[in-house]
Amino acid sequence: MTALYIHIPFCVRKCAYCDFVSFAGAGGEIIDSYVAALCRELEDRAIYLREGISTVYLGGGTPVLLSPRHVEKIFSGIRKICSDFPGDREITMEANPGAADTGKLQAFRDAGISRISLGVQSFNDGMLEILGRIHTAYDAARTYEDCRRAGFENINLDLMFALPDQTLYLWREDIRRAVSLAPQHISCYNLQVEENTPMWDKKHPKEGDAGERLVFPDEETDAKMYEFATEYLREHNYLRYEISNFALPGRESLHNIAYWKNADYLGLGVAAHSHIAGERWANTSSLNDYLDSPEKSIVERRKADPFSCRQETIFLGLRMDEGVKAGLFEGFEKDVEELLGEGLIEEHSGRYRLTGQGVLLGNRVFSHFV
Amino acid sequence: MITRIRNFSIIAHIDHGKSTLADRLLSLTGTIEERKMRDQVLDTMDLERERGITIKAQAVRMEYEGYILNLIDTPGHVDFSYEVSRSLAACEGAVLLVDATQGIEAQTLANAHLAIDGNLVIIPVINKIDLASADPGRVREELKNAFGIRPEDVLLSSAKTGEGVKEIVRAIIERVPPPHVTDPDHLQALILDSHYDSYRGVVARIRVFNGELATGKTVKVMSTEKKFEVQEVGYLRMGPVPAQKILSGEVGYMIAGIREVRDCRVGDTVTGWVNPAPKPLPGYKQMKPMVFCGFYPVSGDDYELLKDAIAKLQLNDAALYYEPETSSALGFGFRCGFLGLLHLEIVQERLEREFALDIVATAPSVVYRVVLKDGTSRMIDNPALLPGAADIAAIEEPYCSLTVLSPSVYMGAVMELVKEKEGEFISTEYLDPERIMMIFELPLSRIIVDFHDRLKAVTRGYASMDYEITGYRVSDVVRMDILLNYAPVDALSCIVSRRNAQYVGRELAAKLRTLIPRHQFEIPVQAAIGGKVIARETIPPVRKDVLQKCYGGDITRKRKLLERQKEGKKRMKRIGSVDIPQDVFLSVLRINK
Repeated sequence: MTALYIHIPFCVRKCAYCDFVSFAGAGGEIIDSYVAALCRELEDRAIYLREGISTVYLGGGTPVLLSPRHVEKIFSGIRKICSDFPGDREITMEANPGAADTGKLQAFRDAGISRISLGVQSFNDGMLEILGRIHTAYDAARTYEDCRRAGFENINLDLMFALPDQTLYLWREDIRRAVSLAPQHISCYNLQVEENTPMWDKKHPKEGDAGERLVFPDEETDAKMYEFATEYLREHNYLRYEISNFALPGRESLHNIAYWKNADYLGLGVAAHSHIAGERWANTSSLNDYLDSPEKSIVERRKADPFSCRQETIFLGLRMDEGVKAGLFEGFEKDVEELLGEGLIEEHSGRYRLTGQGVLLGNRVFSHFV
Repeated sequence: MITRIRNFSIIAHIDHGKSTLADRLLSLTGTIEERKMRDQVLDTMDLERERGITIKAQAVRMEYEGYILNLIDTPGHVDFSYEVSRSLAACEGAVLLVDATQGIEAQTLANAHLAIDGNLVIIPVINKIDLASADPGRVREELKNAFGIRPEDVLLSSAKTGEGVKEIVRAIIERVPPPHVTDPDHLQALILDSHYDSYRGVVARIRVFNGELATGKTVKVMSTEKKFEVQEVGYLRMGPVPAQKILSGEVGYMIAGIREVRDCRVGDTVTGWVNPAPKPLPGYKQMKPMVFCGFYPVSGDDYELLKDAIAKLQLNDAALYYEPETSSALGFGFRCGFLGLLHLEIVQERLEREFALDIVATAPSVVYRVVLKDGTSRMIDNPALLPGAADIAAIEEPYCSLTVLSPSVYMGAVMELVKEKEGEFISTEYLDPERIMMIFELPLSRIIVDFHDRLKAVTRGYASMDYEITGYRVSDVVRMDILLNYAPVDALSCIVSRRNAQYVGRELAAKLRTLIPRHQFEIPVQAAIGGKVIARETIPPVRKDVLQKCYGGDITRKRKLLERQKEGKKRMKRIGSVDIPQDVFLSVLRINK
């Protein structure tokens, strides 16, 4: 079975921290031709889906900028390959607060979307402004309610922490607010400031630059924020199953689990990544190139040797609370011994998994396996 | 015809235009075709090009209007002042090149005095007169005050535009005397420099003073009495041009089956095996390393590679000294001796660049003379080897005489800096109403680390300096040890003055706290003298490093980030339970003291 990812590289405005491939302010015609290109690529890559489709995820960008008609068109393309689609599969669409109303959400649901991942990021308007988001905390709560009204019963809220000027107190408020809405799933990502984003420039101002300088929480606060989230969410029955992901039992995201288990996935669209039968490839980041020939969009392709494939299974799998089968660590005995000694991993029913400290120092652990 | 030979060098401060002038001379005399001209042809090592200095002496033979002009280029840094003195000894004249916007600098002063003391004819040239800020009048005044040069003897030029270059060549021909032969029957050739060529062995650049050096002749190097047969001699143009023989007064090269540059040291004299000269040419001395540090491979597996690499560099660098050394913190490595800090940095950089080695360099140290209570004395070049305080009667350290040339407005700032470095003021003299020459005495240990950078900083880059070692003096110094996680790290021990110890200890601990990455556990950093802790800092444990962003399915990117982290860790040296970045050992010394 293959997980299917579809990238929608359009948004109303780029956020200050965003380094994903996405184009702000594209008109309807471009989106029309993009959807047509997606359908062509899908048809061309059909062979990779012959074992069946497990989950579908429409990410971005802002996928709700598509019209329900677009989604229907893509899904009818999928149906040609997979006759029982959508069935009761997990079919997720990312949504941004304020970007769709109840009617539109309802239409997406009718087209086959079964799960919404809502990019709330914060319930504090000051934080949202720093992030360059175009919505307010009020929009977030309202769109969440709209999703419920539209009939969605499987909703994720995305939150970010370690934001500029954010205090532990403010973060606690965000988590409490999220839990009070009673979604099925909550993701907590700490903000990574990447190069070539407006936020990077404000974090690392050039000498003599009189502009605003952002102050980020220190490592200690970052760690405390994460620890608070883990604890508070567990108390409210949101169990951590991956470093950044918490869900009510049985509501884990099957699509994301496919990444962490190093399973096969096919990515369609600009800058999408795929991993099928030990081979990884990436599509072009150029929208024009993609629109010209979506069939020939692959720009990087590498066949992973069994060893590096196993490394990847380990460092991705360790992100999950269930850990990785001990048998896979053959040849890494020294690393395992060192990590056990440092108290970063532990053995649990024939698997190795991160300890409480290991979760915080995950990179230290993962870097043993590259 | 010996009367048509002119041997000269160019004395100039860094960036005053020496290399540009040399390039002009090469093209004016047709030694190199215009189209083959690269910038600054004479600096052949990459490092020289980058640092804008000449490390090794070069020589080139040019022909112009029936005259043979031998330009003997000299190194431009104080670490190599002995090489400069030998290069000058091979010349009858020197072009003293001074930047019209800058004036005389300390090293130019020192080198020009060397030339004057050696009876060289000085051709003063004020360069860069094309620049708007040029002030030739003021520089003329300086030349007069510093050397008694008559203003009417001074030439003006712009090596960049070519203006005045022909006049410089004319002056070389007219003012510099031809070589003078004192004893035509006994070969005497001065070794200016030598380098190792993996195919041909040592290639020596030489100036023949008396007699002639011909292919096939059996010769000896006078200080060692070692015998060699001359396989090839020739002239140096843009490359070697073989010839039958090199005559008295001429400059060229010699290949004689010599396997190590140590057998062919700068300043030594080559004479005939049969019918040798009664005496060597004056001025030879074997250079003693003044600054020492330890080089250790980051990975113990690279020890043999490091050993081979240092040995290879030494083939070409007779001043480089090394011997195996063991550190409890760093394992097996080498104690290396250098002429000065620049020499050290060059060797380190070459090891890293040309041999792709990851090495740790420990803090540089001067050589201390330790007088023990039993009356014996020992030379100590490694702080970790300093005997216990109970056995020491006195510690002496090398002092030097420091000359600083600076605009007089910075006099106070320079005085302040020297005082901070525990130096003593000796004298001062005005070169012109705005420029001053100051002479100080201070411990060499205070100069080798960051003095030059600091001097530049406090004088906005206007001051220049030069120093020479004057001898050993008793000094009130103690060894300071550094403890990481309660374990002493021998490679971080340093010798400091007792008066300053408290301050240095605090600074050092604070600096280490910022340089050593956080670990999973808390790391106390302590500075101690004789077991007594005088400063302490704490490196807090690392709390969180995990990357939470998902990057879609872009595993390649995630992998690269992790690989970088792994690589960073590999480049660190593990001491006990603490991983230390390579550059810590050198950078801790760069604190003010």
